[in-house]
Amino acid sequence: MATLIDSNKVKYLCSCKRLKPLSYLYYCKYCKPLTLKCKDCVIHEIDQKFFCTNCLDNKVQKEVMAVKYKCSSCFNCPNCKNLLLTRASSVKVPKDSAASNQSLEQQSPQTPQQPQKVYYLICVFCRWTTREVGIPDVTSVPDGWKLLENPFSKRVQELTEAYKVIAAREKLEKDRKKFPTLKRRSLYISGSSASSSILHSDKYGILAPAQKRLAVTASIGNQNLDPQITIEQQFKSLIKPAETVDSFDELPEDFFTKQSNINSITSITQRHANPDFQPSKTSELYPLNKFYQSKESKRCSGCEHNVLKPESNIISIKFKLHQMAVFLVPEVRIVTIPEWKINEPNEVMLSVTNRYEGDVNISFVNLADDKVSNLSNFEANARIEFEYQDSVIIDRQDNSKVVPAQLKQTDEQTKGFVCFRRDNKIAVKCLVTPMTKPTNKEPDYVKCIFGLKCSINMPESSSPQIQSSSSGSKENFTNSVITHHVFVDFGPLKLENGLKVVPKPRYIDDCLKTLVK
Amino acid sequence: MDVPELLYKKPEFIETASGNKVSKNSVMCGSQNIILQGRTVVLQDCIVRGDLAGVKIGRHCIIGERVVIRPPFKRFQAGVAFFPMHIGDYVVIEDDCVINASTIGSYVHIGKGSVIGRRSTLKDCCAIAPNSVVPPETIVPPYAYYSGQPALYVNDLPECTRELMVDYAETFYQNFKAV
Repeated sequence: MATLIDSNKVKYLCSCKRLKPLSYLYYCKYCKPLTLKCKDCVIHEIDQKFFCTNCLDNKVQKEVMAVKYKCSSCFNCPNCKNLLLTRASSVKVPKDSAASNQSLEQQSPQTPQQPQKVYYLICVFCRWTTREVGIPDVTSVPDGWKLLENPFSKRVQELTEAYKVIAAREKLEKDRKKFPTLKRRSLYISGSSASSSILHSDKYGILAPAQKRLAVTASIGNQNLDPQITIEQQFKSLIKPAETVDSFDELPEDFFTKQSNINSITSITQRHANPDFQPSKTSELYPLNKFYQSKESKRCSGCEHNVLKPESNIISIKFKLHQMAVFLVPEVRIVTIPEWKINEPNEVMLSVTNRYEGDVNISFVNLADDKVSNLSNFEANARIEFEYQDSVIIDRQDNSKVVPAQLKQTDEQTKGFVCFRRDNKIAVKCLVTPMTKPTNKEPDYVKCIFGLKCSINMPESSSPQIQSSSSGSKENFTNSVITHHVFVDFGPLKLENGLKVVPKPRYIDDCLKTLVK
Repeated sequence: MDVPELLYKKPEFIETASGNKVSKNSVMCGSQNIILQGRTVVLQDCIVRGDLAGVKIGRHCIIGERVVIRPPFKRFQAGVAFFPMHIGDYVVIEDDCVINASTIGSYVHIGKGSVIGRRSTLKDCCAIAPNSVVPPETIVPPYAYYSGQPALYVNDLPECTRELMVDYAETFYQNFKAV
């Protein structure tokens, strides 16, 4: 629904001082004080299981690395990047397979022929086919279309290997600095000869993987341990340096005179879609293999605890760990937008939804234009006022069908500030005053900031303990109070170009009528 | 913005025992083949082609105005065969869409004026941008936001999409009121 409702209207302040919609924020229950985390300030961790989004074929990392993360049976169109579909057609081939060396034209019409199924790829969106560029049909799918070999793959391979040697040497030199005395160093990197080393006295084989790795490092490093040779010299000895190209083929004579065919030349996006080859002519286009993807778990950057962990099943939408901020922090949404009057208080309605498993006490805090607005580059130009400053209770989510009599807080108590209450949602009235700029110019947008003070009962183990109250109902629950900074963008001041006033919904009017009775 | 309130005239809608609200101005061809699981809202001028093959729509779905839902077909040597269509729960299809998908998962949002191609599959918790064209036989993975013509992956959806869609669909049903 992040796409359904304009979620960018109301933003919350993340711990990294960026403004994000609440639905895109996570929380870490172990960090104290409790912090909100956005996509940019969590550690992303790739799952070990990879899958193709089209055929849902899954593989482990080793297998996908062998195929360069490319699915062998699913392709994208090189022309429009859409999915390519496999189409079958039949061709007649001679029955006698020995005669297949001869071309079909040379066959006499009497030769018996049998149909054979062949496959080609077609894009159903732009009608591009593999036949169009002369890629021969294949007789078996999948794995019919082979990966194209990059002309420079040998050079890339050489370079990779040379860098591996350099990396090993650098690591060795680092290790040497770590163990400066020769005796200690020999314990670790002496390789095969040192029978007395720590690693070799490993009785139970616990250190076997480390031993193996060190042996490899030592063997690579030992080849070029001469400290006289610098890394640069060693690299040059391993690989032929790249040559500068200083002469090009001349342009053909008719380049300027011949009418060019724009349709035969690929676009920049088409070239970038295939970085290995970067075809310049449409006749050089080749199907693009789909890439394997993997799920992602997220960790808090502060304490490295997981904040999000998906289930391993590739099509599952569930999570093993699901610490989204919407489940903890009440969500504010705009209900009404009035016709703005500048320098005058306008009545606006906001709704607050609680998705926490317990009741939440909230109160609105008027924030003066302090450092918060400067921190986040959010130019607030309107003052927001709440008539009722005390706390308002919002019921928990599953507490559906609340009858007014059972409410923990009556409307008389909140003095009509809460104009609507249903399940875990309330609507409140506030006054927004758009202010003229210091230059006496009217602002274009109406933006304001306020603080949302939430008080929730959290389990003891994960409580942020900002403020603890002894009046907690259960011993293992603590009451924690957190103030979130909420940034509301009401949109343009002048409602033009189809933008309309959003009136008060009828259900709120009905609610108010019952209040009056 | 919060979920808007939508008012309708009572005589223009049929309300079934399971809470479905179907506009009398919509066309339900072959209604014996159309299953609405309950609390689904079908707005005016929709066309659901149940005469071609079965159409099963889950709970709490919202079908916008002028939407065409047509089971997908496949051409065979002998002729054309239509396949049944399944739409999951809490699916929001906005106005002016043409839906030819074979399967649409749950918690899916399809933007205004989109075309979902033949036999394509939309997995759970995905979204299609307004005015997109999803080409035939495409598979849209979970938590993906597809946009453009042809629709391609552009962004990820938040991991709480499921809860937000449930909230939207339920609030829409509550705010869809007779005058």
